[in-house]
Amino acid sequence: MLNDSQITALNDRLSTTRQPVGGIWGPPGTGKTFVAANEVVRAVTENDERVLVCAYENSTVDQTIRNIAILLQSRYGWSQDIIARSVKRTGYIARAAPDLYPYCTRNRNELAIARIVGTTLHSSYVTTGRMILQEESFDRIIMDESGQVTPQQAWIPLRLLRDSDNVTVSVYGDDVQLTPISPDFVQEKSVLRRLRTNNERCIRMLNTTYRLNSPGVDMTSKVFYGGNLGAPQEVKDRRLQVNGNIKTDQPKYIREAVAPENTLVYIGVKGREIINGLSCDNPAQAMIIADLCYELLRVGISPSRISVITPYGAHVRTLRTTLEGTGIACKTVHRMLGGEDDVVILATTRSNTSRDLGFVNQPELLNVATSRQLMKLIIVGDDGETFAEGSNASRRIHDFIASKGCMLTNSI
Amino acid sequence: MDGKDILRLVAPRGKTFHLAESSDIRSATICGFKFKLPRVMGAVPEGDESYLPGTIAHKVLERAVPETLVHLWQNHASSEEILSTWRPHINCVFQEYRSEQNIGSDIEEYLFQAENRLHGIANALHEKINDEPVPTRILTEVTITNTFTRHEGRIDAIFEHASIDGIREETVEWKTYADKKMSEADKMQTIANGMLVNHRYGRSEDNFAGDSLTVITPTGIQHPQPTALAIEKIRNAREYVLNVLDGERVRAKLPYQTVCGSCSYRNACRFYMNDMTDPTRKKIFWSTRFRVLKERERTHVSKFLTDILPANVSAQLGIAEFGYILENIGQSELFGKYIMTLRKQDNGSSQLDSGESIRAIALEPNTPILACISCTGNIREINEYGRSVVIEVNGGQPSQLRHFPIILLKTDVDLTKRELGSIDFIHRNGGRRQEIALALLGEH
Repeated sequence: MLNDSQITALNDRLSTTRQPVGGIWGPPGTGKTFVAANEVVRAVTENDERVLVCAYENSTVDQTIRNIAILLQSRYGWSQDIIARSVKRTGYIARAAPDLYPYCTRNRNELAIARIVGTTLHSSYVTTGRMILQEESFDRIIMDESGQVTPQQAWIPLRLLRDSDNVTVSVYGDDVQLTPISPDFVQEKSVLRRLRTNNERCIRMLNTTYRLNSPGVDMTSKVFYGGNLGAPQEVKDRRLQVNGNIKTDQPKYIREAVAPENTLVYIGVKGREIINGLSCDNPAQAMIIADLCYELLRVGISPSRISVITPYGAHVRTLRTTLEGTGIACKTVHRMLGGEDDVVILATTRSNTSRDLGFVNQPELLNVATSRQLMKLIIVGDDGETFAEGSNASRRIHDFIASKGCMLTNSI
Repeated sequence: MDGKDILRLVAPRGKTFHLAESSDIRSATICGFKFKLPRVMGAVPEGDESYLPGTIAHKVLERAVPETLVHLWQNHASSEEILSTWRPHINCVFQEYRSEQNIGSDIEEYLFQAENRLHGIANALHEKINDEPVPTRILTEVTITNTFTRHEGRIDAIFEHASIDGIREETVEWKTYADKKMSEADKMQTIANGMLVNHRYGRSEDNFAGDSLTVITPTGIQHPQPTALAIEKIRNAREYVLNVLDGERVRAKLPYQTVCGSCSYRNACRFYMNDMTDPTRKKIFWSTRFRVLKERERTHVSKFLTDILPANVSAQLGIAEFGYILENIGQSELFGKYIMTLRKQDNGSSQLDSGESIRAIALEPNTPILACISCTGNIREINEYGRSVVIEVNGGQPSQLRHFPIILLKTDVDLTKRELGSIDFIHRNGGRRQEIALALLGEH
């Protein structure tokens, strides 16, 4: 079932009066990939089009292809055999997920009869060596993750568009999440950002998230999306279920942070950052996170439902060592893009007297870091002003949690 | 100190981090535009797939030679024995090509031609291994970077021979084309690679005292002479390539027009020589190109850093990791790639993440770090809490890394050729696709 904003976006992209380029702007958890798969399936089955599905990352291409196969089977009753012939995954297929191997091919005959072909942007047109797709042409290109894609990358598949006036390109993504970084180490404008800035008419926003519960959804909406993002009531009411009682001998900040009713928590931690090469570490924050994780595990939350994230590689490594043997995933915020988990613990790492948040001051990064949770977000930050005053976005997040969430400190 | 500050410290004075590849130098010795069209404008060679037999034969040699040559040499193998020893590799490569082509395509004809060329190479090799003693060491697919001259190349093979003065090397190139006579440009590329080999063995690049050049072709063996004139020509071409990449305005040296008829970039050349594109759009296309070139430059930065900074600083900055040894080499079940496992020896743990691109460099004694034997690949898994690293090999021969301490250098994959290719396409083709491209840029 599609919601209203998804239907509007989809109808817009499939109408005969559509713009040659259209953007679907999807904040976290709004079902971008699902809508993209719907567009592909309807363009193929209703308009008899041939569609190329592209994204920057292999995993995103895989996810869209998976959704397409499910839709073709469940909604249109296509058999597995027909789907495997009509839907193909090509490019650097060694990087495709194993469950997609039945769709993977580099054989030109098989690609020539496929109606839907998925590949990464950079594999969509190989200029020399073994060229796979150069004899193919498509009526429509679907480009996912366009909030991270530069124009020169987005141009690669364009030569595969049929030479006709009916061809169209749909770009999906969210430029308020991570953006491309230029060779000069500055943020670059992605294709979606450029479209949103210069041609707002061709943009449709998906405004309902199925990921963030309350009050996290309100925080993300207010801080990053101008108050335009909402969630269905059943999503807002989602809470963590724990087995047994939280230990009473645990410090208050652990008990409060783990309590299911507190879905949005900030723990201020004493303990300064340590600069490690070009990266940064914070052992004090790592210790608090370990305590939190062990208590979450003790009350029955399985390790696969918990993700620990931080912007800094050095801190990830400290956290991995600290949580060795628990099975809890520790990764950088960049690696968490597109992912979600029931409980997300974010370590901000930075803690200094100069209120220097480093690259945590990028609002796009903070948006990704604070919008991955289905049930609970615990931010473990400094107890001073580094996060509270470090940037406009971090200040607004801090203030929001102070007023609507749960503000704790380990210093008592 | 942030990334920008470090780059400013190590950047070549007044220059960029761009590197001239030996193949760029080869093109530039023929015609300035022949280098610029593919490497700056992004033009793709025109014509059919007639280059395929050579490419296929080269691919077979890349796989077969490292595993078989010493054994074949020791046994003075005949050309038939050489071919039969290579047969499993030939079958494997041919199968890959067959699986990707249309049934109606010319692939069988291309494979037949590739087989013929391999036969020619086997004949030439038979003569060589019959006449000459077995080298003390055979290295294949050696990538050498000289950050001082900003020159990089991949040498097909280096044969090390024992001599009274120590080691004598032979720079070996396979040329798998059908032409009977070796072209002047190919000679230049071989000499350019020989200059890199001289750097590897600690000599000045123009000192060919211990190095001989050998080109093995289907029609026989040739030995290009590194004359002072040839070296001068290569240096001039290299300077031109680097000036163009550095963004300086330099006039391209063009050849006599008689050679233009056979050039695979003639349509692109005609277009750019008389480009009638709307000036605003032209400006957009060129500025996009220069952004891509900047991206390419960034892919070389870690090489300069590793070459210039002390080892412990590179490690602290997270650019390189030291203290590995090769533990195991296997092959990927599905895709036939080499998979190598490295073990950390210094009780430390890897700071790398799965998916990252790396260059594994064997630290050979008395050899510049970026001239040592190496393999490129991607990290597949980090096991045992960072003490074991599994790498999927994309280039190079992992068996050559055995018995050496290994460093892992973080690299960026250079995919800019594809981006430039798309800019060239959009620039040269108007219509709906150009409109869409400009719309994606937010300019329309």
